[in-house]
Amino acid sequence: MSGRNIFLDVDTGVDDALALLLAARSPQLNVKGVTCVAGNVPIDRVVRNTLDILNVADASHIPVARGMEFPLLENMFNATEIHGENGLGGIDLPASGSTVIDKHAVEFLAGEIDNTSEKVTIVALGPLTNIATLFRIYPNVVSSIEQLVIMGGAIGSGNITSTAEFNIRQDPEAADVVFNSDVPTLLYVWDVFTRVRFDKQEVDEMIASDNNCKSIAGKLLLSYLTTKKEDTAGIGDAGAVACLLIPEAITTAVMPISVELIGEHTRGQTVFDQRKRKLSRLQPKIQKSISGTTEVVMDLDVESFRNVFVDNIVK
Amino acid sequence: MIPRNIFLDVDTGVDDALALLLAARSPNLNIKGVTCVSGNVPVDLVVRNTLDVLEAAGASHVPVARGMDVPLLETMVNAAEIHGKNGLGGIELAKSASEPLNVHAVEFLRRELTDVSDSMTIVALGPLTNIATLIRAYPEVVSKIDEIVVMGGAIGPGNVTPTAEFNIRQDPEAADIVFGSGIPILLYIWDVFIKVAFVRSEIESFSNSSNNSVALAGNLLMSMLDRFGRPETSIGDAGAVACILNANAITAKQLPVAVELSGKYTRGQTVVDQRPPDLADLEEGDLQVVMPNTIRVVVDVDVNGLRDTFVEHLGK
Amino acid sequence: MTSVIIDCDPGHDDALAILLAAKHLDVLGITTVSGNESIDNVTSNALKIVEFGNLTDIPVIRGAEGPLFRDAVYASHVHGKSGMDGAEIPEPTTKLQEGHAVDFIIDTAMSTSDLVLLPMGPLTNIALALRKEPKLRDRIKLMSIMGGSSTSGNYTAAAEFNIYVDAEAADIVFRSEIPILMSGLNLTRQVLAKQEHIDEIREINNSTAQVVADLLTFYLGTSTRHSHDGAAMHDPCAVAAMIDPTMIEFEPMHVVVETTGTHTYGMTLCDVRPGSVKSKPANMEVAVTIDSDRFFKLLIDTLRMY
Repeated sequence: MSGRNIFLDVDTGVDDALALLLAARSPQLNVKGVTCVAGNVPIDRVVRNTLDILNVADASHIPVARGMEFPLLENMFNATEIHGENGLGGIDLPASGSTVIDKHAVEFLAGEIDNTSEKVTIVALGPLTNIATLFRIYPNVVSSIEQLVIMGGAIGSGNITSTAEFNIRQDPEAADVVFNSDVPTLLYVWDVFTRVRFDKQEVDEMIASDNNCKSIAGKLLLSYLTTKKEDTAGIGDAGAVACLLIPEAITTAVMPISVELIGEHTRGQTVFDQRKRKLSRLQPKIQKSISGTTEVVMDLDVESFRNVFVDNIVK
Repeated sequence: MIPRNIFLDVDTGVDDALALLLAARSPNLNIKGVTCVSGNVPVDLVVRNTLDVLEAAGASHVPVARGMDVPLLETMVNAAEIHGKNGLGGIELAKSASEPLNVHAVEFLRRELTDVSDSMTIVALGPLTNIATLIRAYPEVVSKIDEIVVMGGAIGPGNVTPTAEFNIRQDPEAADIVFGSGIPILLYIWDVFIKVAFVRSEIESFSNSSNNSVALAGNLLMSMLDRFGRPETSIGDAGAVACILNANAITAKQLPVAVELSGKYTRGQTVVDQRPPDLADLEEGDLQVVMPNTIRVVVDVDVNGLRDTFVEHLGK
Repeated sequence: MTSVIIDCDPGHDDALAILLAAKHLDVLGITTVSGNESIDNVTSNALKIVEFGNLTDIPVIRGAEGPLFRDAVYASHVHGKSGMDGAEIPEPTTKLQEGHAVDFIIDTAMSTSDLVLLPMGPLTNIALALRKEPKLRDRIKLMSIMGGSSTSGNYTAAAEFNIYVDAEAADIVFRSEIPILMSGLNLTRQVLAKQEHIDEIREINNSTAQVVADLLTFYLGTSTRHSHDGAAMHDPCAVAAMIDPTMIEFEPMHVVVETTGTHTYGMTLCDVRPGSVKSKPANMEVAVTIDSDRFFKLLIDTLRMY
């Protein structure tokens, strides 16, 4: 099967589940493996959910590897108020017969990247602990990564704190390692994450569909409508996958980025330098300057994203 | 109409000069005194510029006091690339014969606030070193301050660093003291500061005015246009004064604000919690961001409204 | 015999530590970490040591190239450009064992009961292993660490080199709840090798001892140039603690690693206040005094065994 080779790193997660459905069903993508990281829910729950959702998508042949259980420095905290105790909004999926592979996620990725001559794409949808550990233990893989698509960070307001988005805040040190790695990165920030949404009627129509994937997707979206008490439900992480499918539908900007590690109120903030060049002259050596750069998704065509989601999950 | 009593705390500064001109000429404001702080330029130059600008505005009776010459903890960093070496964009004013008061700015404010029966408004247009020192040294006068209008901070990008605005970054500890004091604050942030602007043709007509204050304002604005080669330039701090004159021209929200003191990249950032309230409840355990104060933040302005206010009051 | 893995960045004192350990402990492997010098140099030095010590059945495994988050700093002013200057040692022919140090540590710990770790360089490998395999917490019996100080630092006023190079890694390790013996500068400064020790080693009739005498001569030279009274035997102290614990006096203390201080980054804060004032329970044993004569007797007697 042709298609772009990608690995997904997930903390499934309602919207990670949507992303997995989209990636597994899209003919343009060839999912070579899924690595699990603790985040929305603890690692073993992430593994279970990932196996089960891949099963729904008829994609049980895709290897799933268990990764880092905790962030590099901090203790874990989870987001069960958003994703439910089971991490899938309370939805019970039939248990997949598959199991995780023997290798640790970091070993798996290192081995896979080493084995191919072509470069790989990694789509990271949870805290960046696996990716950072991979880069630190196997720094040579960096040159073999064509693109790293990350769901994380925020230009404007954060979510888990006023300035920080959940994935980055869970493991700011890991994010710092990744942004300083010189891997070409596309950052799908919280500011655009929230925009691709479906209303209750559309969600109900999905649930009523004959297509199993579409129906499950609808149920996952419904769980968001219930938990978040909003009128519309967003596809979240699935939008990051969609960036690979319809790159013409996004607007990006390249910006300097660093992660704030020690701020009392700002730990985990993705610090961007958006100043016009003339103003940035004003900074004498009063503060540490920003060391990384990344391409940030600033805007997207919402309709195109909604369409590609609905069209592809039934393929 | 009773003019409102205000004190100005300045680091004159091209746009502080514009603010002084506006406040001095407006019949709706009564300047009880101007205190000087190091900021754009060192405090002695701030004093000199302030005296000369007040003279030019026909307000040499207004007492001027010299204040703090360095921030509470930080090293002083000035902004001569913006304001020019003399702090007035290179504009030479006639030297005023007036002298600053014999007392320190903080002592001056203490006396003034103790003596009066009505409360006062302080308009702080530079780093908050003087105000913070006043609050810490003389907490008993705090109740006499009905509002502090602060030019400082940013919700979006900063100026002197990617996330911090100059006044707050110069003395973050002072800002933290002021924001935590419980005194009602109106925060005129960098995001709106840059919006209230005039273009070259308008500025030229100011410069050609027969009104001294308007002409001086025009020259000050022109110096900024020339320095940066832009088609328009903002009235800066004068916008904060214009807000007092035209409260209808601003949109302000009561928001939780904290000053980041320890960030590697974010020291001096005004951290504003803009999340919708139910999302803000999601904080867990030790992730809880403690935002101790809410203050009134000017999140948007009616640009033309403030431009008109500036022109109207300056010409009086 | 106690099964150990030595994690090191040779380093003159690392060399002595390895030679000391190899005759008294069951050294399952030597893992290297970027520290005194670059990972390439310290790894090459580790291979040199197993060769001139005739210890080539101990596998050497290469580890982390740099600290977790910070840029690497080296200590060539102490150890020379190669990281182990002073002796004529041929380029090693022994091969490294395949794989990464982190995985060697994890695999060995999972398959060996009562494994003891002997970290004597920056703690990058250990931290990565602990994070990657949380089960290590229950598999590792003890860590005898050379690092930190309950008094003053060396690389900075407050911090000892190993901890300073990767304070975040040290923080992970110190918070791991695995039992730790900490041999810091406050202890190792009591064990200074001087010319008379070198002379005694020079008298030993084996090639290993001769190399050691050459290395110590260099190390004594740089130490004296930096106004020390002798060449401090840092890393061997952590080994001595495992061979003969009665040689060293330990005190239980609460220790944390400072990771955000401007002037105190990398400091090990040991709470030494009188018992009644202390607020937190002890989390490790900190070495406070050592019988220096007994130490040198052990070291020199061991070198005779080569």
